[in-house]
Amino acid sequence: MEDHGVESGETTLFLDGYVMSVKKDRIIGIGTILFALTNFFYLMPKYVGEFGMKETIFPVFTTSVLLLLGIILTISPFKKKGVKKPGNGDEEEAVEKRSVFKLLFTVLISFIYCFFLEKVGFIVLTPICLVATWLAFEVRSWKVIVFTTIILCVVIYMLFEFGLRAPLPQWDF
Amino acid sequence: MFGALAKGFSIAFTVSNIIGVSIGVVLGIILGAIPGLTGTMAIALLIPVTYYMDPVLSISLLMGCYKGSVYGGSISAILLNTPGTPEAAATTLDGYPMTLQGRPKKALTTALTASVMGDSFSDLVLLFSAMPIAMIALKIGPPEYAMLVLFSLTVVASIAGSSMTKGMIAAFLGLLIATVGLDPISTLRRYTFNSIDLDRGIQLLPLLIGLLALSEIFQQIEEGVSGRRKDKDVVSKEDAKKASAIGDEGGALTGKELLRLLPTIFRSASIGTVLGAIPGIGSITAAFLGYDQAKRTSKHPEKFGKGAIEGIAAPEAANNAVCGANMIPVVTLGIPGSLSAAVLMGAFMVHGLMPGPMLMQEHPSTLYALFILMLIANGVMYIIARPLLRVALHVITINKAVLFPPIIIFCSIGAFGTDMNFFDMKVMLFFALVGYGMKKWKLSPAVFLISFILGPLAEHSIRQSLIISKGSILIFFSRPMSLFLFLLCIASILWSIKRMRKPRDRNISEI
Repeated sequence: MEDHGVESGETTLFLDGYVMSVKKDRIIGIGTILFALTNFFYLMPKYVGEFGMKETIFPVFTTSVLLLLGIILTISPFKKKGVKKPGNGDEEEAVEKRSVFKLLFTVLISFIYCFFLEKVGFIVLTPICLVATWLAFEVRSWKVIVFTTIILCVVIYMLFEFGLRAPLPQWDF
Repeated sequence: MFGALAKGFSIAFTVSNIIGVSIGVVLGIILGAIPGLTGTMAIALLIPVTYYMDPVLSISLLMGCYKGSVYGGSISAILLNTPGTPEAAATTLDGYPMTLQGRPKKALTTALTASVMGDSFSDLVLLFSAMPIAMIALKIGPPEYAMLVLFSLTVVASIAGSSMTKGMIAAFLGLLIATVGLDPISTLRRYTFNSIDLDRGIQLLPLLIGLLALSEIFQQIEEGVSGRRKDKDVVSKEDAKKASAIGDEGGALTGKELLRLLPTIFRSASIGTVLGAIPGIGSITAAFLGYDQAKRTSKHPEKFGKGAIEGIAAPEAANNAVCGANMIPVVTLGIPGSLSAAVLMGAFMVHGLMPGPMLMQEHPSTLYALFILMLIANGVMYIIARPLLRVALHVITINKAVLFPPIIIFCSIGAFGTDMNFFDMKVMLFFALVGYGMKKWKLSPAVFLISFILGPLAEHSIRQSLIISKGSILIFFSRPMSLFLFLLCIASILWSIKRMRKPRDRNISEI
């Protein structure tokens, strides 16, 4: 879908793009309003302090502006005319299922790495995560996988242990 | 000033600093040549590595990397019609036609010469203007500072992306997130969710790495990477091989041609310097404006777009001039006007150098050493760019499917390595997902980052102002400079609304 907008009262062949854009903006606007209200009535009283305290001045100011901006974005029904964007930068395009799988897998690997590095250790977990990600990305050259893993692990280990004198986590079971 | 300048020379001209800046330039040229990896991302990944280094060495390495990446983007732009960095887009207009005409060497030497000259011009402006501007900035009080920050954010938010409202939402979200941690005055906990790790607030480096580097990688993975089929952004080995056979066809830039280019280079460097010093206007605008002006003032405008050396010199001089000029508001006011300036400002802060007018008062010789090293970086770039060309052409053929997993590991270890804290890795991952989500919903992570960095300054200024005025907000409107800046904010918002009404490609984010 193309990101065309309309001025009030005009019909357009790209109505579907217009509707999608306004819908997304409205969702962001409503989300911002909800976030601002949650901050005012729950987060701030619980995790900062009562209104009127010096420490709440800036959070109140920023949250008030966010609330206002959320309302503006939600109620603003008109989009200005845009120009056709060349290429495929539009998020409405269909994303290949394989790309979504790779993205989710990468996020999962990142989670595993961040949450288990402390216990499993750098030398064990890094090669596992690297190889798993490469295989998910359909890299099949074993030379690239093996040599790059070894070189990367050695370089990072040497850099931290001897260069920066900052020890990396070791196996801790 | 001259005493500090002399001391700056002695600090700059040490073997370690010159080697450091050279390594930065080399890395920058290579990384900048790779489409998909920006100079800002390269700096974000290098900051953790430089964390334990001396501040001058560390920041000069990062500056060298930034400068190198801006030039590096022009290599693939000229030889392969694929700009390695967004600011090199204007260089393709005449650079690639010159390659097709069998004159790639002339195109590359023109780009290199213009880059070095443009960059040096703005570095000299920075060198001589930083102290006077910092002296003026010292007279600015808290209300003026608060309004200045607000003005910067309105300008930046209006330029970044398709909607000013969404830009401002990203900005104020960044300001709010910056309040997490201990209150700077009373040390009361704010938004720490009873977690001791959050007492020290959200650390800048993990946020920066996650928001800029890792989120970008997630986005590019979603767009499609594969070890099997040809990645659409990866240059094939055959194309790179053809491009590397540059030989002596057409020859390098001659002295006569250089003399002819001097007015163009000087004009474009001036454009880049002025625009670079203004918050929110970055190298892309400078490059295209420089190109446009060169074409308008040329005696042969019909040659532009068909292989005119002025068409390469103008954008390259302009976009490289932005590098030095970007640092003017950073070192004198503590306000980053672009993403790259924000990242470099982060580097300053990580090394205990708080950007702002006091920086010039407290560390003048350190700053002058950095400015001198920036000039040295230009000379290094001129010397080593040509031998590096073949290396760069080899590196850009590497498939992203191979490149991304090591970068992800590097991001994670980098986030951990700054404070040896595992919580920082989780922060990095969280903001990587936030950054990815922001991009999907057309909210600007760059604006978010800039406002996060400015948050403490903004809060400090507002609270100090209210203390001075005993709680009255009229202080922001009763002081002439503060009122003027407030009116500038309004003008900026109105101008943005007017600008949004005009048809343009609103999907290009300047910063």
